[in-house]
Amino acid sequence: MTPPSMVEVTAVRKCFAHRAPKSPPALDGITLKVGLGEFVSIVGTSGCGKTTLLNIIAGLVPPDQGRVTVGGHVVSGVSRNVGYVFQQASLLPWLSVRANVELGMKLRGVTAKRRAEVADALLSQVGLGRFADSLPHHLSGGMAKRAEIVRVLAIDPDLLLMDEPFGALDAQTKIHMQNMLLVLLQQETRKTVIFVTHDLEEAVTLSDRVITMSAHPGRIKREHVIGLPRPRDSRQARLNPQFGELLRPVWDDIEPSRDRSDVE
Amino acid sequence: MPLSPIALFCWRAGVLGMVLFGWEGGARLHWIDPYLFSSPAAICKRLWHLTASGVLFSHVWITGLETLLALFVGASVGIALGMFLALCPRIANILDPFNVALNGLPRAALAPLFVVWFGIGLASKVAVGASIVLFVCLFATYGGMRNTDVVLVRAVRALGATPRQVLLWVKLPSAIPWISAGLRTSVAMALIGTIIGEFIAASKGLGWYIAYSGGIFDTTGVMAGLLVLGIIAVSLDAAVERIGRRLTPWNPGDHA
Repeated sequence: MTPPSMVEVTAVRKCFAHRAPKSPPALDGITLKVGLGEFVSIVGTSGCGKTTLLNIIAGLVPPDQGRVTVGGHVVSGVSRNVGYVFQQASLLPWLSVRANVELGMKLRGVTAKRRAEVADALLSQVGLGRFADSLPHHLSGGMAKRAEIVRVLAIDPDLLLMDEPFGALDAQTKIHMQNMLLVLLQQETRKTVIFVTHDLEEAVTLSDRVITMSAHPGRIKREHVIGLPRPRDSRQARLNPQFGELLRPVWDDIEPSRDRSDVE
Repeated sequence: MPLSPIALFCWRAGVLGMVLFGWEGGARLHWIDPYLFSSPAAICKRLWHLTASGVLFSHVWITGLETLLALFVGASVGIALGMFLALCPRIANILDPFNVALNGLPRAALAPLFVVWFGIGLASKVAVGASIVLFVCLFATYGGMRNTDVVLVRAVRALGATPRQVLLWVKLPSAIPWISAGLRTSVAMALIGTIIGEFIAASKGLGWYIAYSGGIFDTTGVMAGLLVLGIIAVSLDAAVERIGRRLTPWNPGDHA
């Protein structure tokens, strides 16, 4: 029996006709399922609609056609048990780091005492305990991103949507953050994650499945199952002899191997 | 190589000293006409008399009160209208050309009209100042709220905020640096409005004193008035800047 799906996207189509009337739809006939507790990455070139797809799953933007269900309920507006992490900095600059992390909880009516407890616990877990009272502009990019992830985890969502969260970070910080994410997700209940990235290695390192998309119109190309063992960490994953074999088909999807004479 | 604070202070004191010395000397030796320019000594003597007799205080009090009232009235109405327009883009669109036209009109020119409406007392000066401040604050608030970072709005929406919560928790705080900058300009504008109002029709206040002294060719009086006005302007600006910095501990758009 197939395990229950956390997210079901059915024949979703989205056009931005008012922006560029003649261009193909941003998303065309997107159908995919994400199982409970699965980590799925979506990779593709710029303009393939990855961000739009995440926005639709999050309920921020309605599809023109098709529908999305999350946890069995049809999405029609922002879902309460979805957490979304963006690529750009999104901490409110006038609030302290702790106040930022408490934001989601505050919107859900959690008491001040409980909010502070949860916020402080999560912040220490990611090494930001000392910065709880600082303002966001005192943090480096990586630290701010950690705070944003923790802000979303504070509301204990069942589904995590992440749109190139580590895209703006340098290579070393990226690896550190990937490991941190793997550790955070390995605790208690397994969360379902949909992770958008340009970085194919990152996708293979983190995911159970990698979905490749093509642009203009945005369509799903293929799905690749990543059979690396869990629990994982970046180093172990990359040094695993299977890694290259798992990476190759994904790479070929995104950038089909050119004729050798081009390169030599 | 940049100058140390002490060296800088000495240089600045030196420049000021030379100007005052040159001015005083020039006046006494009649190289410059003291009738037209007055002299530092004469100005100081006049200020002393004005202060001792309490006359200076009453003028400063009136002008200060008018300025603060103009600031208060203009800013509250301007900020409220700015918020309202940011909330109702359709109305804002309809009213846009009228806003621009009214703002383009030098409000100082409205002073005679305000005198007819409000008389030559306090109210007309407050009206002139407030009319200038209103538009500065309106545009600052409107601009600030409309220029909220889209990512912040999306992030808070994704956390489950209603549109009203987005407004109060994101758009309004986003606008604070803008409003703060607007208030700094507003202080200067409120003072200008008040002074012009006093030039046109008043019976007391610093602006009145300067105009009156000018009218009877009392250059010393004019200079003394200008000096006090200058001190008030600088102090008000510094105070508003301090408050502004307290309200905006973050640097908008700044990241380490």
